[in-house]
Amino acid sequence: MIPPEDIQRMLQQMAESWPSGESIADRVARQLADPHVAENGSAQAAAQASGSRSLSPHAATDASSPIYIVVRSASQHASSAYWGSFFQVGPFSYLVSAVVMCAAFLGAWQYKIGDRINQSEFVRSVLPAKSVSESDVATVGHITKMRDCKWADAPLAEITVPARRRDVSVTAPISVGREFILDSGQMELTFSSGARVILQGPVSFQVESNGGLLSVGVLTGKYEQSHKTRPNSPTAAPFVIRTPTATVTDLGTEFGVEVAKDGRTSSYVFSGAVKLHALAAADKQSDVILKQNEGAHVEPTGSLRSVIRRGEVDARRFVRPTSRSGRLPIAVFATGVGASAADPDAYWQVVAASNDPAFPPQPAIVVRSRRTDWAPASASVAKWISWCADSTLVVPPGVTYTFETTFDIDRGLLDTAVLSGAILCDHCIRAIRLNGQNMPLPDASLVPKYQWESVNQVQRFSIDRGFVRGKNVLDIEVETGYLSSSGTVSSLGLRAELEGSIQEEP
Amino acid sequence: MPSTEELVRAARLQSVSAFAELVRRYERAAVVTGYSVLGDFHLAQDAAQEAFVAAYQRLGQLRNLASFGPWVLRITRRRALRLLRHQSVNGRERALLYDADQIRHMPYQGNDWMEPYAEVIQQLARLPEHERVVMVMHYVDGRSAREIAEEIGCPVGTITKQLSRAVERLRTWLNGVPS
Repeated sequence: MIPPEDIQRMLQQMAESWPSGESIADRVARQLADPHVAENGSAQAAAQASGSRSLSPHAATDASSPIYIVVRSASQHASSAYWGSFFQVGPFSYLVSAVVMCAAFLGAWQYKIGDRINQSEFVRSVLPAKSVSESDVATVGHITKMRDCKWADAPLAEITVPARRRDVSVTAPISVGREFILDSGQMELTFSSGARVILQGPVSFQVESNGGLLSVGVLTGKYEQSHKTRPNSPTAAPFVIRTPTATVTDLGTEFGVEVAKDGRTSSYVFSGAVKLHALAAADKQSDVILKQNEGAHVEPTGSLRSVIRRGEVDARRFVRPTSRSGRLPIAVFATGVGASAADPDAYWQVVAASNDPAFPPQPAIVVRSRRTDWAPASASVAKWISWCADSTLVVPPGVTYTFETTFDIDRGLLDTAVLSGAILCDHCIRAIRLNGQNMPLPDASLVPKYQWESVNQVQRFSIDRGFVRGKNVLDIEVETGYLSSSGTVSSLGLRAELEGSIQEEP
Repeated sequence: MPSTEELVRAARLQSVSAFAELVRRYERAAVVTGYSVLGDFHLAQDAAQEAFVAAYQRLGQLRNLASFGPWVLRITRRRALRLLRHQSVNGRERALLYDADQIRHMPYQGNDWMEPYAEVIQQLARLPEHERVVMVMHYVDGRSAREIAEEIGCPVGTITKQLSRAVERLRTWLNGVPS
């Protein structure tokens, strides 16, 4: 009779007497080094995104979801040649060469004019010079701004921006592999290729040759033009943000990316376009091109919800980069952006009607059937909205409806803020209010002489006062006209394009 | 030590070191699983190797990242069964070319270190899949019941019950008691 203890002992003895020699890990590594094998692998998707293959020793900011780990012990080095050779094939080696050349050039340049680089003392302490012997050091850009940065990783934990300076302009180099883990605050990185990235804490971001790995947190990226038309781009590669579940490739654009702790990736495009690619199995990989005011999510499983739904991605989450003139854009949204016909508008509400004191505030609806005399809507700029999708001929005449949108101002000089708009409406504007204050109306906003004047002729307005720090409320009152012969029904519509900016604080 | 889930997440982001660590973590369990089907150490290594390569290529399909171990062991068993069928075909072809004595005296395969354990390992193949996986992970890989429970996503008590039940089954079979 074999007692159970003997069976257990037998299995444990077998494990202990396991022969040393070539491990399965070595054999697998050698097999994967064959590009014909590897090309079907999960590496294929990642290989499309340029960047470092080394992962950070840091975990994500949340201890419950550390994502990137390098585990290297002495006993593992024997097989490292195999693993390394896997990436020494194909375009990766050319990319590495390009990065090394770029590093040599930038290093020489920086040495020559180093005296002119204005680095404050604390920045030098934040970014200590790396050892020259580190092979992966390649300067690919600079930190250009920091605001209330509080570091989460231990080596930088004690470094904070001095309290007397909320915003600090700096010029400190960043290299491939550098990881920034912020508990809070914002940091702007400018890559040599011209791309700019704003990291919003809490965030974990690792710099790659032209882009980076966003483990968790929020960033906004801006590239002035498509990589195809960037003759001076040092890498001639697109700007790519990688996340645990997706890659976001810029196609000449301004966009935001948010990675949740569970790996869920959300992307929103302010202008231009990006390609959102879900990291998944080869037969399930999918791409979607996001255009202006469109957003999408990639779930951790790798399934891509390519259907664009209004409000799925809250664009207000993203801090937008400063323009070249030093003015910050204000995140204010035109009517109907990113929404389809009959969908509720994520940013505009109908909050009041003059004939109903108990009118419940409700999301404005993108009009499904536009009246023929209304100017056509631009899908990517603004769309006609009303209080319901088919209400163009069923609202009572002579009633004033109040459309409302909100926007936040949390930085910049308030007295320099400007909000301008171009409005089409049916039938006429009765009031424009910012935070409850009446603003000057466009000339043609009073009852127009002819019906077509308000629905086809753009009325422009500009507001340069009345802004407050934090949440601002913009109301536009639109009065319905007397359209039908019976005088009992009318139409209601608003199409507003808005743009705002504010001067950055010195 | 990083968890399996963390390693899989990193491997999906092209971290070769993370995938290498995963292979090292489960290679013994995979070889034993292969051996339980094939009865040959080298063939079991082949099956394990194929399974890890297949797993690498399908990492994106793995929904529960923590269950990489049971998942790769299931792939190993399927690969081993496929290899077994392949070997059977080759064996018949070889039998046409060589007589039985020649086959019996074919070059030594060097499997002897596993022979003392061959019987118990081959009985492992008779276990239900969930019991076989926890047996291999516990006794060959040296993982605690708690670690296995976290990876598979079930209570620790379930794992300990499965282990004791599997050992009892093996004991019955090895003592010649019909199942």
